[in-house]
Amino acid sequence: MLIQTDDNLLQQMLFNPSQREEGYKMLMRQYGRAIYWHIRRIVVGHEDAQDVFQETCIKVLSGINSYRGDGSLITWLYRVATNEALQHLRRQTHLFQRIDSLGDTLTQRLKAEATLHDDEAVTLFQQALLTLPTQQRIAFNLRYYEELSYEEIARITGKSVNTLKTNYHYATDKVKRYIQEHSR
Amino acid sequence: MPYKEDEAYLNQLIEQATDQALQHKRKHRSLRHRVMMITSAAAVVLLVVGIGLTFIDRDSKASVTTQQVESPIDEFLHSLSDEEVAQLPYYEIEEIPEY
Repeated sequence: MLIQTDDNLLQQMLFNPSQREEGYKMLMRQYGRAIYWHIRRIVVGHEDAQDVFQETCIKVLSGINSYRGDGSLITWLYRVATNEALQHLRRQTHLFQRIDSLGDTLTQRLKAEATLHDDEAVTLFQQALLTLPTQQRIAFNLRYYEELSYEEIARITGKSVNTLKTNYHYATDKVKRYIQEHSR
Repeated sequence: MPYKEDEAYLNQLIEQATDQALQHKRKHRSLRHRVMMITSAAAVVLLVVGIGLTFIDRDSKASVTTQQVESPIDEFLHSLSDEEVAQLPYYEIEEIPEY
């Protein structure tokens, strides 16, 4: 069972050079799963998610000094992970190609990993999410799966709360329509 | 979620990624330290060589200046002993013959 450590205690450990390593390990044990799933939903592929997670761990460790303690630790971790995942997707695009045009590639990746025993409805829902523009998809995931507030998502994505609310509304509509059109 | 990673896999991934990140930082720190050491050593060598060259340059300039100041007559006179100098013909201004 995972023992939850108070964020304040973690912050104290991270800011103390003699306790930083132990604090970092505790931080990743506490939030590593959430961060991994967040990355997995963005990059879709299993191996891609592994690579991005590793990069995120390195960035978090080297960037602890840049964490000012003004937001929650998990928000900061999501921000680092989101940037790393987006950078990973950017590397997969060709010259002048946008990340949003990777939707088909990501859908193929999702189908390649799906097995016969997978729940069709769940797979269809994932496919619907991959039709959304990347930023909209990230905001939707953070709201739907992680149940973060719009304020927290705004801190992670750098978008305004109103933009996020509108995006979430459009994303929900689009996902519903996709599922209606594609369900048998 | 259609993804299949179980708890054991995730625990292992987190431990492994965390350890690798720590190792990466240590390696990076030691590399940075080594680069700093090499750069500092190179700077010290350059400084010493620079100072040495400045002194050599100054010495050679001084000797050139000395060579230019010392005329051939002075050089000849310096090479003579006191006795030889005493034997040199001495002309009074009045004794200089008129032509």
